[in-house]
Amino acid sequence: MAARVSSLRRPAAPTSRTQLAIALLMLAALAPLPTLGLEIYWQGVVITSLYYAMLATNWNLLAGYTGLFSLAPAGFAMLGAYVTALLWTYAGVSPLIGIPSGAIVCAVVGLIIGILTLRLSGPYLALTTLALAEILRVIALNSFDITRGEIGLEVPALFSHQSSYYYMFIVAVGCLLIGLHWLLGKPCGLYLRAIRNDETGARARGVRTVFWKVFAFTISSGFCGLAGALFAHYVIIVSPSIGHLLVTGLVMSMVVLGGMGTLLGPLVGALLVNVSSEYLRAAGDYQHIVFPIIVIVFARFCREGLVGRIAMMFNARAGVNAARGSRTTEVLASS
Amino acid sequence: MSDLIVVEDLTKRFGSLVAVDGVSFTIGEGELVGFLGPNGSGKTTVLNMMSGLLRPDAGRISLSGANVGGMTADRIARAGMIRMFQLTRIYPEMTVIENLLTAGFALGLDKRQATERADELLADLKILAYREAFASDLSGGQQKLLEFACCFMKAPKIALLDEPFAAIHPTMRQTLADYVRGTNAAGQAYILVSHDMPIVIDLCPRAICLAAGSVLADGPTDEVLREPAVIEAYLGPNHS
Repeated sequence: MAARVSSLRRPAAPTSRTQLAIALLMLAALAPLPTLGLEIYWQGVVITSLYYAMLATNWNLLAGYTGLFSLAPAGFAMLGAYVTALLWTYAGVSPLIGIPSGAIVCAVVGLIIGILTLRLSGPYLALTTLALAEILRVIALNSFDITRGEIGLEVPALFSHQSSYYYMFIVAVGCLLIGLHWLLGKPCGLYLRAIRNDETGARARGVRTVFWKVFAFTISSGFCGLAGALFAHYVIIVSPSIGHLLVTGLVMSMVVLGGMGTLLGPLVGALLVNVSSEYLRAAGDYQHIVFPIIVIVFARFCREGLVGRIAMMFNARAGVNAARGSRTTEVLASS
Repeated sequence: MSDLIVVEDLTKRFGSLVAVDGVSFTIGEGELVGFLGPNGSGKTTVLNMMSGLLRPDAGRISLSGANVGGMTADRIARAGMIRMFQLTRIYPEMTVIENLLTAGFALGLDKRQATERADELLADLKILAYREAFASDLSGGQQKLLEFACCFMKAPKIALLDEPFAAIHPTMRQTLADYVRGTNAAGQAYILVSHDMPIVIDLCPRAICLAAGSVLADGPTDEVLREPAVIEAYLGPNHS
């Protein structure tokens, strides 16, 4: 008996080792560019892209794998940045402690928000995270005596050379992707995907859905905080603009373009959007309508994103059975 | 036969509508009970309350003597009362084997146990060839078999099956019925909601009939189906 196969819309493997390998190869390909003469300006563009890739990867863990819609990745990044900045400014705490502290504070806030909202169904998480992000930003903006408002807080640089930040972010993104791949290969990865597919069905078959949703939200919040804290010591000034809602929108568009629910998609989307936006600067204000239009086109005609679409084409060409076999073997091998 | 499930005065209201009104019954260890009643009689609502998806307004549900009335659905499933839905609830973007492993891991199996059990169930239900297929690629009947298999990754104390035989091919229906009959003979308890009377008569020694949220009849299946009140509930008061 042969299995009935629909090769038209075969999704990308969410825990694919191939995608992880491609992502690591991309990072490895980026690594020698400073020594090959990449200008300081473009090094900065890549660093910012990798910072966005961290945020996008963490948002993808929620929206792409678990089906949770958060509007606070930039808000948590800003919180992580302010934690290390405030610790440095008012207690002289080293960034080596301040940066992990930023991640931990964000994880704890994420845990609390998750416990409060993730028992509820519906749009409560989106609304709560939207409110949280805006409240944090407005507090940072208006607490001038503490945060210096829009002027921002100065923080020390971690390195004297920009290329060091470049390598730091390459390593950070690489570690994040390896960690996420490991996590998704565990039973936890199956639970998160099950929740996204059918939360009620998952609950009825014994999956502790609230626990795993809170877990995913806590992890995602913590790593957004880490990204923000690292970025703070690159830009050496922490201001409320880090947490602007537009940044969250940008991160979401990166995931949609790259491929939601794929390991590689957020990295591809972040590089594509951020690097191409540099080229679009010449278009002046028109650049602000280009990406929304592209996102709408992708949402309508290519919902799986670039990586998802390429993976589908590859799967169809490579033979569905082979793709199936390798896919499941990977899940089992890594669990 | 000791009582596995005791349901006492279970009540559920949706606004002014009393969907379930003081329902009481017991299910013994290893019993296979047909749950009958016309559409809207409250069968699925009772199952939803038993499986923790709805909170009862009043009443008590106990499983092996423990009150499970206020428990969450996942805790009830892990306690041994598992649920199959009328409208199939599988994970369409995951493969068949991933669907099964998810259920197995959630119920406490390790990787080796879960994999072996999954393959055993797929073979028993004659869908082993679809092991690596995406669940969304399966036909409606195969998806029902997959959801059914997910319920048995770890043998439950009781399985609540809501219309498992609806809209599936007769061959698959026979496969499913054979599995239910065989496991019941080995001591597996079931509540089976079905409008398919020949199957209910064939499989279920006992039936409970609900109408308008109350228990209309409870007893041997053939006697329940001969009850005038049951016939009237199904066919209306003016049937000939």
